[in-house]
Amino acid sequence: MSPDEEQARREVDKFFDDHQGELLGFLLKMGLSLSDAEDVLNDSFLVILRCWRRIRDSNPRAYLYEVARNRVRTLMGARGRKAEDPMGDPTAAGNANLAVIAIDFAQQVVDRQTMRWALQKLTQREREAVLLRYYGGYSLAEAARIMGVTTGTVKGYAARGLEKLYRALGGGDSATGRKEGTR
Amino acid sequence: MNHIDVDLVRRSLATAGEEADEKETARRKARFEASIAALEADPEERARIDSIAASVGLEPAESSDDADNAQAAHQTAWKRTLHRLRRVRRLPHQPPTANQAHFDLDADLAEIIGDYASPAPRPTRPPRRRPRTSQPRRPARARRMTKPETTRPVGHWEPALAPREAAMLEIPRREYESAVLFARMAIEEHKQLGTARDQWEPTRILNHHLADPFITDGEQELASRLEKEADLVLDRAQDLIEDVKGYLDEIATDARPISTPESGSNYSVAAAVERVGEHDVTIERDEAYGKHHHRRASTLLQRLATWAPWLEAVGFLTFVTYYLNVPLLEPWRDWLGWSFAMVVVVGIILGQTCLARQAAKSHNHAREDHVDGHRHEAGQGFRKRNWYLAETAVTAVTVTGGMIWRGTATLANASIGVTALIIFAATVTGLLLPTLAYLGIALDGSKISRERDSLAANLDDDLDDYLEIISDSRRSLAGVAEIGDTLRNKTFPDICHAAQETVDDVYGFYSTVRLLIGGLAADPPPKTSKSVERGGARDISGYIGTSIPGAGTVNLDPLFDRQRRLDEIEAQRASLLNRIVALPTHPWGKSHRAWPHDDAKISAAQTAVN
Repeated sequence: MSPDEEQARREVDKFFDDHQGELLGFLLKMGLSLSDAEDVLNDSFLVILRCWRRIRDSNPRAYLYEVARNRVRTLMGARGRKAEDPMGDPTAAGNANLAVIAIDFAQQVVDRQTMRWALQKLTQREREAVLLRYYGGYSLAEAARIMGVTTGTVKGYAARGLEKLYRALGGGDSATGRKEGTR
Repeated sequence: MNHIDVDLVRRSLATAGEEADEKETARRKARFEASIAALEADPEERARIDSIAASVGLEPAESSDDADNAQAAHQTAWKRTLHRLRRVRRLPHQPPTANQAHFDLDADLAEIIGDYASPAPRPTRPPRRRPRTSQPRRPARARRMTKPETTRPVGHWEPALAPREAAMLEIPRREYESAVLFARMAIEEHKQLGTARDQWEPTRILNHHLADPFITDGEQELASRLEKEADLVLDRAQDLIEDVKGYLDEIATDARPISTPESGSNYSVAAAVERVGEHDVTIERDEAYGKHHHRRASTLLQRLATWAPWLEAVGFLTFVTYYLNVPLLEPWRDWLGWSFAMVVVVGIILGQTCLARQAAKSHNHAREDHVDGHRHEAGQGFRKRNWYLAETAVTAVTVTGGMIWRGTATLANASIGVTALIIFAATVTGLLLPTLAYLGIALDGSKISRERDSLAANLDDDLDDYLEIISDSRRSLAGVAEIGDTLRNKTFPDICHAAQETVDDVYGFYSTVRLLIGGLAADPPPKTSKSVERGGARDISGYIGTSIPGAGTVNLDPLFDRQRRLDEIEAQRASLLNRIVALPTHPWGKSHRAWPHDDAKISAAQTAVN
């Protein structure tokens, strides 16, 4: 192994340590089971490793999400079904709310599962937009780059996704009905 | 979507799940390393990964075997570029010489850049612009992903919320701008440290700086409320302490003498009590021997003796008004008659009163001398009494007779009843009242009994003052204790709570900073509920701060100053309370205002004498 490859390997190892947690959370929230999410995560980082020297100086995290997002789409398309329903009984979440600041561990689990269930009510693009914006912390421009759409489209997806989330979690109609970022 | 929902969704999404399990993290890392090994060993796996990479527009990096091919392809691309540039610029084509082993890209690039910098030869015809549609067009996504970032630095970060989004979340503009600065500083620092993205929490030093204004506000709240609420109460408590000190010092110095008008002497409290005791013994002994001259006149008689001259004056003035027709209430009608009447009445009253009192005092002293066996002094006293009595009797009879005569003369045709009433009124006014005044003084005990009763009355007053001072002191000290309890149990906790609330405002700003950073794995720190508490019986402990790492705490020195001052006041209160408890009992244990007061005691004394 050449010194360059060793250097790249070390950098990818660190990149893996830094981002595997958040990427796994992203994949789980995208509706994958834990085993599928770990498969996609592993493949995504292998792609990053293969392409590291090309992308190391740009935005490897964005590439990571892009690869993972494509893998999720491929996986779901191949299986020909929607994402799993992690809650089992959707009606049980009718009265759920977004209070995830609970200290109780059990309550946190319920909150997390409720949120995952609610996310499955969104379309694929809406889910991606919401997760990239509000979970991944990407700006509109970065999310647009990852999704391959314009920033306005991301805004639309995110706003509709949030509204659906709000409704799915028992919040009723939105107060304003305005899209995120629109005047 | 209203603004609350965005925030809740953001926080909900930030709730860590299976990804936070450290054991699973290690397992995934091991799996990844195994996959790397398989990737290097298995061409099929490598091809699969490369196909995944190609699906997102990424070309797999060249392996060590492919490095030369990649370099060759790279050079080929540059050759094509140079060829196109030369054609556009109409530069002479210079084929590589035979000695030129490889294509010198840097030299060629420098040459072309130099050509572009120098004036270009005028073209024979303007270059035809290619139609836009003829340009090779890649998918927008691919262009965006592969385009080098020339407008943004590497690893560029943008706030998770745009200003407009922040406004929708009701984040004030200035707070947003300040939060962006803090978030940017945190991110720059984490980038330098190489921290994982989901751990880009604001650093401790940043937390310290961002919380500092709120800590300062909390300190100001604490100090101002202590000045307004605690200092005034502490001053009042200190005033009460000083008052009690003054009271107790006054009792200790015993500066007020006990005086008696009978002898004109001043006694200390103890001496007065002793004097009263001596007089009691004397009186009881004399009573035992059948000497009753110490017995005081009845209270009614004493009061009549005091008020008789005034009643007599009223009677005279009434007589003058109705029977002498002197307009006392309208002096301007007859100044001469009015003045004459007033002089006569006042002269009669003063003279007769003086004569009657002198006669009474002479009798009282002569009687005491007689009982004590001083016959000579007694004889002189009785003669003096007789002389004064004679003068008094003459005056009284004259005035009474004059009033009867004038009254009957005025009412010449009056009936017998009216005449008898006039005579009765004149007799009461002119004779009875002076007689009562005489008896009230002449029969009012002895010098010893009067002095004894006077001292007893003064000692009673002194005892009342003593007990009142002690009662007031205890009441004041109870007020001080109540003030201390109020300060400890209500005022200080309330002030600390208010300061804590002021400091807790930092959580909103801190949350904004974290929100703008975005993608943080950890939950925000919970609000600290701990504030200043009373550790022991009196000591204050705890802090006023936040659970934000690195944030400072409120300086509690002003609170501790008030606490120390309150402790000092409490110590003074305890000391004064001990002084009160240690005070000697008043020597005048109970009241003996008048004598005789206890027939049984007199009987016992008589028995002892016998």
